[in-house]
Amino acid sequence: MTPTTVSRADLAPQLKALIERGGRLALLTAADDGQSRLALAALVLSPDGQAAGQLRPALWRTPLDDDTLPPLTRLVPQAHWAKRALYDFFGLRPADQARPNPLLLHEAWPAHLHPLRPTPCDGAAETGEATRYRFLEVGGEGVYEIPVGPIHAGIIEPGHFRFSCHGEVIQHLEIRLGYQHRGLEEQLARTPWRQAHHVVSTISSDTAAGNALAHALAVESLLDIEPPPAAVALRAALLECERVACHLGDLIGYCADTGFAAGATAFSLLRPRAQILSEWLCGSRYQAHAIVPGGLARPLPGDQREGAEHCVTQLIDGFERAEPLLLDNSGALERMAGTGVVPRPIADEIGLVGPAGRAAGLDYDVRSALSQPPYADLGWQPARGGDGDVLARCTVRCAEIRASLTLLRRLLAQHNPDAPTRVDLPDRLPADRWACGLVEAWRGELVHLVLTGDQGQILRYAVKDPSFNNWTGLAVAARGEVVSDFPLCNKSFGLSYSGNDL
Amino acid sequence: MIGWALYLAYTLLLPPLLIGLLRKLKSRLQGRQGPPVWQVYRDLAKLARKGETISETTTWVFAAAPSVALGCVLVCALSVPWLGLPAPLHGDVFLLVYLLALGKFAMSLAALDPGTTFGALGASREAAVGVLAEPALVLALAALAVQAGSSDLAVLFASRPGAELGTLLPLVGTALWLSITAELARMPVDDPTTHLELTMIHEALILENSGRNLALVELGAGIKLAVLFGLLAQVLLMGTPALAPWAAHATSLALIVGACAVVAFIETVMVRLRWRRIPALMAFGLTAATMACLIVALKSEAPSPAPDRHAPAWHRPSAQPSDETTAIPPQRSGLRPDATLERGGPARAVLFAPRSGAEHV
Repeated sequence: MTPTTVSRADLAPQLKALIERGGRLALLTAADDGQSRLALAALVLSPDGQAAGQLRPALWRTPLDDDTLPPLTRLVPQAHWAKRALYDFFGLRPADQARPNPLLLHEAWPAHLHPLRPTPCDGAAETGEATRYRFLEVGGEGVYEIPVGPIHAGIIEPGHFRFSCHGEVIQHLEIRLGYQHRGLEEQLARTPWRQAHHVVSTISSDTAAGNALAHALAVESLLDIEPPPAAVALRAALLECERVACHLGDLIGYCADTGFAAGATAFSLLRPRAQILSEWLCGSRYQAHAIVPGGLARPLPGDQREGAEHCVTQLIDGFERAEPLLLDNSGALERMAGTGVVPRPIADEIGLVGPAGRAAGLDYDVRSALSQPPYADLGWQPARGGDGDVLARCTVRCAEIRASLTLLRRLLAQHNPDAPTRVDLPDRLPADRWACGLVEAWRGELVHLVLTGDQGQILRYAVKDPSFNNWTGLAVAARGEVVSDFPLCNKSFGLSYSGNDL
Repeated sequence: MIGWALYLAYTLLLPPLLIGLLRKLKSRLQGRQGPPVWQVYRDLAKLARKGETISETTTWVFAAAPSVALGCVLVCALSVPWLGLPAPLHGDVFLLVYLLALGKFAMSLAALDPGTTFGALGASREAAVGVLAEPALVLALAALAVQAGSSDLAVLFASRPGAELGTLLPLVGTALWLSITAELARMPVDDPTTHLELTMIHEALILENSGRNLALVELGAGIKLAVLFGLLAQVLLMGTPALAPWAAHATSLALIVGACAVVAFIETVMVRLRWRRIPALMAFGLTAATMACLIVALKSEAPSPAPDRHAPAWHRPSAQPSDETTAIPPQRSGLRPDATLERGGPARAVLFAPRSGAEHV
């Protein structure tokens, strides 16, 4: 596939029309277009004419004449964070905004640093002011602010939350991230591509399988090779295993945050079982370095498959017993129902992905929307939600755990230990190509985009974690809630900081 | 003299053991090994040895508050006959309630002193819960006091209610249990084990305390737990015929341990209550206490139409029996939660809100 060129003026209207037809903006970034000018690169998923709900990826390129971005967010609200990241990393400023709020680069970074820019900024574009973050101030009598973080009371990742409250009610929540920005995209472009899968697994270590799979899909599509079917099935098994383990971890969180110790204990006993399953499948409890471009790092012998199948049976039985503790508990239901609602129109507008999106009533699931192998042949349906509240997110997670365990059982039953699980890769990447890897990681749509230059070198490696879409959803969900329910809302989204900060 | 020694020894040595026992029970119920029962003594000793980190913006209020709070609970512990034996000091229902309030007031001031948001948030929440929990405690004890004809705790617990025992004790017991668990920052009102600073009530109040200051606060919380459960034990003992001192003492201790076991069980199987539903729970306790008062009032009125000299002035039977019922609304309105709970809404909407819907303002 070759990129379609979309003119600067047409970009926003065309994106809006695409989203209205049921398409998606998967990733929006910029890249050097070879003539030391920047071009916007948008990975879009356009609806397939034949089948309902099916999407096809396509790349749009928009050459830019200067350092101003076309107006975007008024027509395409879900491009909001992408636009701010474009300013941080490329110095592209929105035409309709004099001084944009930085998203990921803080005051502590050198002023006027735009790390992914090939050439320094035009003199005219920089006003000489250092970027300074301004929080939205909520006025009125009795409104006060609660600053939380970036260092928290528990051992979690750093992020700053600024609540503007009236009494116990949250009027506005502003989330500031970027404390973990470590230049991963730049590093991925510089790392020799055969070693890049080691870097990829550090994007967000709880999504090691998801990121490794997205990377492998992108590189394989770039090289035009197909991994063996046995490897495709086992990669899906690893992805589902990661989903089960992480969703179980979040269910522990739901219980702990509502003070429900018995439930937390029940799920805490199950989670290690999912990690042991991962150890049987790939030798690592956290799916590290298992999925590589071309297939799998290690094959799965027959005796290990038996151990894994035994683990899956134990998990299915254990989950059957543990789930009612939470979902049949009137106290827990009372805490979760109606808390942290993201209404469907807003979920649509901000482009929520993953369990949070499906809980709000959106149907989007990469596995089914792109008819990815091996899911298409397994007779499987994505989980559906309803009201967009904490309870809906919890039930979607429970349904996904059950679906993933069933999938795991089928995938392992089909597995042939003697089938090849890896193909050899060529020495060089092809020149002037682009490729993407889309994966339904446990948090939702995960995108890796690779663009190569005329020597086959990687010009730009872009990553979009599902959290990048969903943090805005958390800010919406918190609005109007009481402060003491916020941790529960936060846990129900279960977002990544490091995957977002890159 | 023996009373002094006994009460002081129990007050200083029993509470850490009770808290250790509670933690151990909770852990075992949740399938964990848990820390040793003696761990709380070690923790207190460790904290007492450690240095303190005190914010530069604090004043003497912050440094003095834990001592004031501990002093309050110590006077409570020495004036309430919580061990089933005569207490060394003369205790009174109202003295007890005001001492508890004074200790809380001191801790709230200390939480406001450093000027941090979480301290202020905790102080506001603690005050809101206190305002909701206190009336039930006062009314429940007042019902017993009227029935006994004295607010002196020694006289009160020595008395034995007559025929209405079967209705009075469950009502008073319910009201006391609910307001005591709220007072002790236990589930379902507060979660003592949470690490989430945004949901804390009591823990947010003491976030800034460290070292010796924190040891005093922890010891005070432990003594409060022992004394209040001991108080509850005395109320339950009113349901038995008068016991020999050693038997009353042993039963009290057993009941205190039993109360800890109940707390451990509740904190394992129950979900913490949503913040906006706390007023409904507290209203339940208050209703029970009010009904207990009503029963005592009706009973004291029935046999003798002449005013009862021993009853407090606000309780003398009036000419029209209907006044008894109209006396209730002012008591309820005294419970009006502050604006942080429900913006603009009347207190009644909170107290009698349906299970869902109305509270989403």
